[in-house]
Amino acid sequence: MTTALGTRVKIAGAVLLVPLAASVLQLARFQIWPSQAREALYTSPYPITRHIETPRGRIFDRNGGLLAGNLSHFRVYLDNCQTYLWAQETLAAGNEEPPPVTLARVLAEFMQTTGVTINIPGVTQSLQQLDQTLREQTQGRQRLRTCTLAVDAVEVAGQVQAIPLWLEEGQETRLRIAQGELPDANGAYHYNSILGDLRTEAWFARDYPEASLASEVVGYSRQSGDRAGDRGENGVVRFYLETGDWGVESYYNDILQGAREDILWTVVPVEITRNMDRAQPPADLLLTIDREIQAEAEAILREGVEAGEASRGSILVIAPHTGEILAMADYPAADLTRPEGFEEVFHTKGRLPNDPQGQVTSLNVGAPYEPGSIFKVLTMAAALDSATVTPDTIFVDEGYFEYGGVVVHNWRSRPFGVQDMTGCMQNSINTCLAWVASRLGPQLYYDYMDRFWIGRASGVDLPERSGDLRRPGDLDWTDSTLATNAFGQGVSVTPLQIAVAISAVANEGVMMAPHVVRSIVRPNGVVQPVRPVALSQPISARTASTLNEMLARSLEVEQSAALVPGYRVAGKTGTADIPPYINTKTVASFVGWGPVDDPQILILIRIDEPTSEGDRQFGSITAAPLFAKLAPRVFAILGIPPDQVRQQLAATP
Amino acid sequence: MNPARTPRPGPARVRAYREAPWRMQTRALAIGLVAVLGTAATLSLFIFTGAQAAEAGLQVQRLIGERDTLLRRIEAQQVNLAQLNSVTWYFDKARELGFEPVDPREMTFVQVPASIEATPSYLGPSRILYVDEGISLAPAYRETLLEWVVRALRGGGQP
Repeated sequence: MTTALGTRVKIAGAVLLVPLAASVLQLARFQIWPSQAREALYTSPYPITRHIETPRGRIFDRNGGLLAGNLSHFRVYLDNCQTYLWAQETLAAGNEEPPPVTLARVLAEFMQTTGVTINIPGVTQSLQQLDQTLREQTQGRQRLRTCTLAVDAVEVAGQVQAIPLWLEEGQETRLRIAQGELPDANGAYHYNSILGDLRTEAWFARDYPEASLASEVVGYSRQSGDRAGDRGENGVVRFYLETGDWGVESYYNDILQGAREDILWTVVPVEITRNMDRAQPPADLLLTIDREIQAEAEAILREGVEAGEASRGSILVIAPHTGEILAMADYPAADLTRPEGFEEVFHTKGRLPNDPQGQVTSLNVGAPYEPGSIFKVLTMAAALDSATVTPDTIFVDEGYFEYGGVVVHNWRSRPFGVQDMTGCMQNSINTCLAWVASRLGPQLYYDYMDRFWIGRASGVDLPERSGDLRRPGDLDWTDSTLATNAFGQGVSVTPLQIAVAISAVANEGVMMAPHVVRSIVRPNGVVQPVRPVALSQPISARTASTLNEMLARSLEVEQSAALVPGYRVAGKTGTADIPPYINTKTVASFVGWGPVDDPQILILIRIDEPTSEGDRQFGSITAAPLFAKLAPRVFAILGIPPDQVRQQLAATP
Repeated sequence: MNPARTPRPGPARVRAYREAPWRMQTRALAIGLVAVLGTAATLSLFIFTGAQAAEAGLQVQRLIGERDTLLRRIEAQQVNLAQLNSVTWYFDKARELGFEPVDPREMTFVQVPASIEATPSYLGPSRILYVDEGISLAPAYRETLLEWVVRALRGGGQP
C-alpha cells in the first residue's frame, strides 16, 4: 500500500509540475529566444505619449490635378540626453578618464551620416544652458532627458531659440541605415552605436506642386508655433499649427486642418486597437478651377501686363450658368514655394494711390476699384428692364451733360451727336449713360444696383473684400453721384463682384452665386457636391437677351479687338481713372462673354496703370485683345465648337 | 422445517468499518488534484488566450505602423507625381517641341450621343490616422537577459 501511495503521489506531482514547467519554459522562451512579438515591443515602450497627426486636406483642380498636397519631413530627437551632457561636462572639466561619447561627438557623427550642417558649439552650448536651468529650477532633481536637435541656436528678444532641424526623407533613411534599422544598398546591416539614441519623428509639410499657378485661389498654409505651450523645453517649437493665410486654404481652414496633437498611447497589447483612428482626418477639396484654363489665363495676363507696361492685372473666367470660377489669375502671382517673396508681390498688388503701403493677396476678390465704363452695362440693363429706354431710344450727345450741379463730359469732351442706345454703349458715351440714369431716378437706379448686389460682398467662398456704393441718404451722396455712378465713377467693386453682376446679362437675367469649390470629399469617401445657387434675378430674361444682342452688335460694328473668329461674343470695354484722379493713370478693363446664343464663359480682364503711350491706357487697346486671345483657348479646352459647327451639329437629327 | 434449528432473531449487530487511510488520502489527493488541475487549466487557458491576444495586438500595432508609413509615402509620392505632371511643365515642353495652341476652328467636333462627362481622376481621400514611427529606448530597457550578457561581454556600448 505504501508503494502504491508513493507512486500516485509521484504521478500527481509530475502532473502538477507540467504547468509550472510550461510557465518557466514560456518565460525562458520570451526572455532568451528572440521572437517577432518581442521585437515589436522594441518600438512600443510603456507608457508613452505619442505625436499623432493627420495630413492637411488636399486641394485638387476640377479634373483631379493636385494643387496642394503634403510631403513628409522629420524632426530628430536625442534620448538619454543627460548622459551626453554629462559627458560633455566631464570632458570640459578635464578629467583624465575620457568620457564615452559627448554630445558634440553625436552631433558630428549625425552630420556626417545625414549631410546636414549644424552649428555644434552653439547648439551644444544652448542645450547645456537649458539643462543647467532645469537643474536649478528643480534643485538638481531633473535634467534634460530628451533633446530636440536644432540647426543653430539664436537669441531672439533675450531668449535663446533654436532653428528647427528637419530631415528630408533621404536623409532620414541614411540615419536609419546607420542605426541598423534598415539595410544598406547591398542588403547589409550596420550599427553605429553613437547614433543609437537618436530617433526621428515624421511630420507633414504643405507643398504646392504647381508653384504659382492659381496661388491667389489656393492660398497658403502657414506653419506657426506661437501658441502657449507650442515651444518645448529646449525652445524648439513642439507643435506647428497649419493655418490658411488666404485663399481656399484660409476660407476652408476648418475643413482642411488635420489633427495634430500628443495623445496617451496605450501599448498594452490587448488594448492596442483603442489607438486606431482616434483623430478625425480632414476633407479634401475639388475646386472649380481648371488648371489648363488657369495656366492659359496667367500666361496671357502676363503678356498683357508686360505689353501695356502696367503695374499689375487680373483675369477672371466664370461660367455664368453655374457661377463656377474656372480661372482666377493675378499678376504678379505669389509663388507658393517661395514664401519669402510674398510680401513684395502683395505690396505690388496693394499699392494704390490712396494706399501706397497696402497689401492685397487677391486683386479679383480683395482689391475694389472704380470699374469705369464696364459698369455702364448695369446702368443700361436697369434702364431697359424698367422700360425707361429701349434700344432705339435716341440721345443727342453734345459732349457734355449737366446733372445735379455737375457737368459730365465724355472722354476728351468729344460729342457723338445722335445716337441710339446701342451707339451709346458702342461709343461708351458717359453723357448718354448719365442721362439714362437721370431718367431712371435715384430710387429706381439704386434699387437695381441692390438687385445686382453692388456694394455687397458676392458671397464667394474666399476671403473677400466688398466694394462700396453710396446711396441717397448717405452723407456724401449728392445728385451728381447718380450721374457719375452711371458710368462707373464714385462706385467701387471687385472684379468678381462686377463680373457676377454682369453675368446676369449672359444668363437670362439670373446671377449665380460664385464659388471656387466644386465638391468636398469627406474622410469617409462621401463626395459632397456644391450645387449652383441663384443669387438673384435683377433683370428679366428678355432684357438680358436684348442687352446681349446690343453688346454683341456694338463689338461687331466697332470692329473691336475683342472679336473672336468663329464665335459671336458680346462685351464692353472700360477705362477708369484712378481716384483721387491726380494723374493720368487708368485701369483698363474688358468684360466679354460668349457664345452669345448660349454663353458658356464670361471673362473679365483688368489691367492696372498701363502706359499712355500708343493709347495703351484704354481698355479697347490693352484689355480687349487679351479677351480675343484667351476666349478661343477656353472654348477649345471646354470643347465648345464654333457657332457654325454648333448650329450644324444641332441641325443634325 | 425445524423451528428449533431456526436461528432466533437476536439483537442487530452493528459492525463498524473504518475506511482505510490510503483511500481517504487518495480521495483527498484526487479532489485536490482536480481542483488544482482545474485552476491550472483555467489559468493556462487564460494565459494562452491572453498571449494570443497580445501577439495579435502587437501585430496590429506593427501593421498600423506599416500602414502609416506607406500612406505617408503615398501622400508624398502624389506631390512628387504632381510636380512631374505640372501644367506649367507640360506647356513649356509643348512649346519646346514646337506645338502651338489649337484654333477651335481647326478642330473636328464629333457629336457623341449620350456621352458621359469625364470624371476627375481623383485618388481618394486620406482617411486614415497617421502616427509617427519609431520611439527608441536605450538598449538596457529593451534587450533580453542573454543579449545584455552578450553585450556586456563584448564591451558595452551606450548605456
